[in-house]
Amino acid sequence: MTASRTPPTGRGLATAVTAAALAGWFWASVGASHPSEMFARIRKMDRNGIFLPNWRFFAPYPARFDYGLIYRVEQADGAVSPWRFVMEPIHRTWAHTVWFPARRRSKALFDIVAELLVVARRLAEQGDLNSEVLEAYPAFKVLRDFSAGAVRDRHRDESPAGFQFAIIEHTGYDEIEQEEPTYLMVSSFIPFDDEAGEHRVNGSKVTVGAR
Amino acid sequence: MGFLAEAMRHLPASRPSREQTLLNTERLGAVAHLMSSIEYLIEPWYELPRQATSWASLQAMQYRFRSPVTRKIFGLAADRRVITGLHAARAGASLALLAPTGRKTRLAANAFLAATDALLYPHESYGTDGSDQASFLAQTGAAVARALPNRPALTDAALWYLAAQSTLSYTIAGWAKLLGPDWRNGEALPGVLRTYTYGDRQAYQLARRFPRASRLVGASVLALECFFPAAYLGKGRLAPVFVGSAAAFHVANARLMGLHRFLPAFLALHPSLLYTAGAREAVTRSGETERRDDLFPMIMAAGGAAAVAGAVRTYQRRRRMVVRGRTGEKQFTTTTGNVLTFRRSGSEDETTPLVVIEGGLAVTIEQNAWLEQHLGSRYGVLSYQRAGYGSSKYRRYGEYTLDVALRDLTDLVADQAGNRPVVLLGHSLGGYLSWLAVPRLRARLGDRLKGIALLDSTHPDELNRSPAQFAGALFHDRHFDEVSMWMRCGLGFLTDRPGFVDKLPEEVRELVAAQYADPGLWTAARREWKAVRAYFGRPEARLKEIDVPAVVLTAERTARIDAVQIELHDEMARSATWAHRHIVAGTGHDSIVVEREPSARAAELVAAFIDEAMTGTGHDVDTTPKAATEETSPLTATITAATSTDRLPVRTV
Repeated sequence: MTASRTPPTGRGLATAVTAAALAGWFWASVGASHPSEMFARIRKMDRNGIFLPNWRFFAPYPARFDYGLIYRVEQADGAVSPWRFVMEPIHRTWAHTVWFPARRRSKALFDIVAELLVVARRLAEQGDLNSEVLEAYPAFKVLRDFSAGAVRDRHRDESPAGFQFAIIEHTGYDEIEQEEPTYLMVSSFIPFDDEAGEHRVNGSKVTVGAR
Repeated sequence: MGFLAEAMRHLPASRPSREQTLLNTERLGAVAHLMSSIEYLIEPWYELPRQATSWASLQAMQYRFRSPVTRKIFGLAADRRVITGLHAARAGASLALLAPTGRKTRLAANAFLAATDALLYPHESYGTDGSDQASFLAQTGAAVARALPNRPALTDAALWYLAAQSTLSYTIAGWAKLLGPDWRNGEALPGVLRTYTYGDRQAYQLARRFPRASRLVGASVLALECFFPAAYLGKGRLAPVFVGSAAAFHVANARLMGLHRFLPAFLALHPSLLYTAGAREAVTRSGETERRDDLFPMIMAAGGAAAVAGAVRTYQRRRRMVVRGRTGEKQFTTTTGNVLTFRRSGSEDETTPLVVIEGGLAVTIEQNAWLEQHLGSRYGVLSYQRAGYGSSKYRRYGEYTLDVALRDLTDLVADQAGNRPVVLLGHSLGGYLSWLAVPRLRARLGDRLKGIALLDSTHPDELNRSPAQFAGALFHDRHFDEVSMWMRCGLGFLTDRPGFVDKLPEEVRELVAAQYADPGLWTAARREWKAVRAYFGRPEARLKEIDVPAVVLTAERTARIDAVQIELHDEMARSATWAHRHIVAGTGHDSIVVEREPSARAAELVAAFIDEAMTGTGHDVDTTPKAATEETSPLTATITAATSTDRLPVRTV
């Protein structure tokens, strides 16, 4: 069989300009890949966040600990429940290779907790860390409202007086090293106002549970 | 090696066709998008994503985007109903790509997915991961490839780009892991597997039960990632091996780590890799010989060379600037062989004291420019770069110890002081170096050494007594090693201009910015830090009394963060002949020198001390010894204004 050649490849100005732009994008991605935050000048140029990919998965310091969002409930009679996960751990199955909608939620929780801890650390370094400042931070409010939603769902019949949530660091499946988790942040007690179906925080009311 | 080459020759050197490559890229990317959008639409528990999205949207609108136009564009998606509608449309676009549709439809679907990826990303930034970025690249590349009809060269440029990003993703992931000790010692894999978020109970138990096998798996992953560019060796004969291994790696990650969307997203970049690594000419199924256009790698190589040349030029220009230093600098060679750069300013009146400024770790004299100005209006000021900083030169061979720094300091001061009285002023590590230099300078200058001023000084026992300082030291151990290495590699151009630079006097800002991105500062800091760490472990590092008076200032923020520092500074104050002791309001460890107002406050207190020290009669404010902690520890004792007269005498003798 005689092979026939394809038509000319069609190089032209548009191709050259596009190739140059893509090459520039590639080198910008290289420049944005430095593992140290101190060398993030190019990465910060991408204000959107999607254009310069972060290819440093689990590097250089892998996540060897879990963050857990936990809560406990105080009943009207003053009894306090044990701590419980707001979002129970999801154990892997083969089905997760194609279908795992909760993954985005667990990653979002991880990201928000990580952000709040970074903020707390920065405030501590500046000597400005106190509960008032931290509780006013939106990431804190997201976690508070998320926890409140879980409490309402699970304790609907009990009319709890309020709840408290905490961020812990723990070793997950490691039952040998598993000790008491490290409490990284514990909220103050957050009272519920049952009649209005709302909870009250810092004197203001925040609606929850409107799904 | 010969065997490997021989084996590679027996592997088939073929590649898929251009159109098939593009179709596979589009379809795998579409699968990733379809999974993502359907999961979004079906996920029943909206609480966290919804509230996180609101917070992310708020950040995007208020902080991320500065241009009103950009804000307006991204503001379109700041509504949950819009986001839901977009996800439904994205699912439709993904299905269109999975179906056998025409070029225009495919172009539109690819472009829509890529554009909405970019539009939604800032709003959904909590919960996104590398799969979102990979699938965005896949669809963007495919859209470019389909942009113009009958332009195979354009398609090839886009496919080359995707292949380059794919190769980069594994390579960066591999080499960045090697920087982490957990990856090098094999603890990373079991460490990740034990977490609920990214792990699996059974896999973790297996990793613990068979540690050698676990380390082997970890090392294999590292090898695969680090050497991924080798897929291009031997005319791409190894590419299927690398791509196949990477695909298996993603399947394992999907099952064990819950990274299911990574599977189609990263697989979407593999067809382009097989296409570009393979032979340039290939016979397609229809019998045509298809020739790949390799313009992109040439442009990429040229761009890389230009980028390296630009980086080298920037490095050289910055180095010249650092070496040139400031106007008015002079040089002095000490008995250690080091060449110090120094600067005299302020009063030249022989009867007024000469204040010698000793800077902290990783600090050049330009960062003390405010102090120079404030004190220069009343006294003579001698500031100098320790060896290796700025334009000074480290010439000594052999191990560096703090003794070298002390010899340099005493030699310079003895040479420059003439008959003037001298006061040492040290910030941070410079405070402790000044303290150590007192006996030597007393030996050289006699009574002309009038006192010592300590600004948020280092104390030799701080790493033992302050957990915060110890944690900081562990950070510095690694930080100086890494930063000095990267700076020597010429990567200073990747650093941001630090915020404190623009708080300094205008005339030194550019020079300080250049010094910050230059290896000289970091190499000197690394050398000094190692010497400090070694010295602090020795018995002779213990704080000894000095026979001159001192003013000991603690930055308010330091006192607030770490109360131990107050005790340590009290101890320093008690170890001097007599002392002024202050906690300076509105100051931090760095701002006490690099910011105008805080440094003015510190300078005012130092000046009050110098004036009293110059009378030579000692402190006559309070002759009753007091417990330092009573006077100075509570923050209520803070000096609140530069003009305050609430000096807190710690001890009088």
